[in-house]
Amino acid sequence: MTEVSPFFTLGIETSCDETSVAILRGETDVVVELVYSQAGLHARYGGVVPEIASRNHVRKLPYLVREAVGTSGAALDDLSLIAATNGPGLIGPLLVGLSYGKGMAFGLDVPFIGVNHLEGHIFAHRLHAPEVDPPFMALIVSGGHTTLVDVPAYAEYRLVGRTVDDAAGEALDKVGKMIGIGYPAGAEIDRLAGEGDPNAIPFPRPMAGSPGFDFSFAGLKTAVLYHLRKHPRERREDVAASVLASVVEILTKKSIEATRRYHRPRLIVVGGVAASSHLRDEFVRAGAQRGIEALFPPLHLCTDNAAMIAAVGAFRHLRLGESHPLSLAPNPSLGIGEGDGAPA
Amino acid sequence: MNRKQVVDRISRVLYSEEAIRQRVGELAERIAGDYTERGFARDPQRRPILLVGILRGALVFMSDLARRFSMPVEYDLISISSYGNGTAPGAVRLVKDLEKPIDGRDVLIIEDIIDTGFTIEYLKRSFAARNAASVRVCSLVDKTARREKPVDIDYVGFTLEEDAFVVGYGMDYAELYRNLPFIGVLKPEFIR
Repeated sequence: MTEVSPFFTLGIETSCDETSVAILRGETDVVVELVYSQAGLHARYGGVVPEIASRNHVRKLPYLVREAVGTSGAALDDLSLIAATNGPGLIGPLLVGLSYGKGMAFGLDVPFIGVNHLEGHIFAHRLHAPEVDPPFMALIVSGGHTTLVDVPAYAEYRLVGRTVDDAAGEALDKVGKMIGIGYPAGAEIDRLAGEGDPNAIPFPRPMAGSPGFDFSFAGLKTAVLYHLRKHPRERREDVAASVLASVVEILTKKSIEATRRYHRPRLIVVGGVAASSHLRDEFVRAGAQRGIEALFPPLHLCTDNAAMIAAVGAFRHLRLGESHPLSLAPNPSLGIGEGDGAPA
Repeated sequence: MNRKQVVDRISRVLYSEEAIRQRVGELAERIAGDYTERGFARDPQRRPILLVGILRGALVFMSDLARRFSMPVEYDLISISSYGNGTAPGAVRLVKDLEKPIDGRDVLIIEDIIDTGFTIEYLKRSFAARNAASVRVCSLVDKTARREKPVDIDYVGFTLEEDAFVVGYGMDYAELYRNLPFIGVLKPEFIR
């Protein structure tokens, strides 16, 4: 009897400001997941500077790949598939990871697959709870995305709604800047909100009552700006609590209504903003009222990571036989579930 | 907040300034005795041992320990955290790596406290993969109550069996209390 050697996928994620490499055994067994943070580098600019992010990916990626392989117990030759994010994201950062991944695949003579970052966020749930299969509704909510996707099965997506302007996390980051919190502001706003009154300032809930499932956060951001001009001495804790209450209410109302309308028993919430404890509490509470189970992956899988990218790559390669030619280009505005259900 | 107000947030002192001072001296002496050519030193070039402190908690302990050695040492710093998820491996988050390669070096990892064991277990694998000649671990406190990854700790200052939230001597809660000269238990009302 010959022993079947395990299928190792190396995943690369560089769509924004986190350099991440992971090695996956099979479809859901994370052997190693590394993130080299760019924390601090972008803080002074109040947001991600694409050029700085790209250069840091170039510097850190080779090191991370060596570190991931070295600590995994596998050898480079054991890798069976290379998966890298090819969109959506910042073009420069995407190019770095994609090119590096293609180079590795060529050098090792193994298949290569480009991965949709948004599908990656959905697969963060699969890594966390492989036993909880679709159908479900997925809310992807981060600094770059606010997207509702119906998931009848993995690799089958229907776009339900998305932001028409700012992402939820982007709005929170900008409010953070107004009240003197460094970038990224999410964690600090969540902390301050715990000490503030969510009803202190009646910020608007843009589009919360409108039909359809699209979101808008730019108006809220402007409302905060005008309020702070009039009331410059407003307590930061109250501003944080009131803004977060508005964002969370918009997100929960729309998402839970969509889950109900599409007759899905559960709603998974993924992406960096899903790290907010206030958001988690409210989704669980509001979901329970409607008989909908709200689920969240652990924090390290909510933020951008390569484990979820490897998970999509392994699934699509092993189940659907997919791989991509080395001519695959990055697509900064790649969407999900908009056409025939295929995200690529 | 003045020093007295900070100290008032401590329910009891676990290890006093004097107890720590004495224990650090004993550890330095034992380590120096072990790292001889007949002992644990493996570096073919016989360079001094390399202390690797894990930021930011180990800073106070390492600076005290380093000054108690009778032999020359070098040191470097790494900033890393890991998130275990039960027994499943979590993500390792690197903020700052070592400044120099460590191949062929005798590395002694310095920690303030070892809790779940995820970070140390990972670093031992990482440094072995970087071809260090030897990798050993020294932790001032070995907190065993929440250990998830069994890990060999070569030098332990104090073993803490209860699941207490300890601060001081480099250890923080929300970045506070690191500069207390002793190690104490934080009153629960100051933990959110």
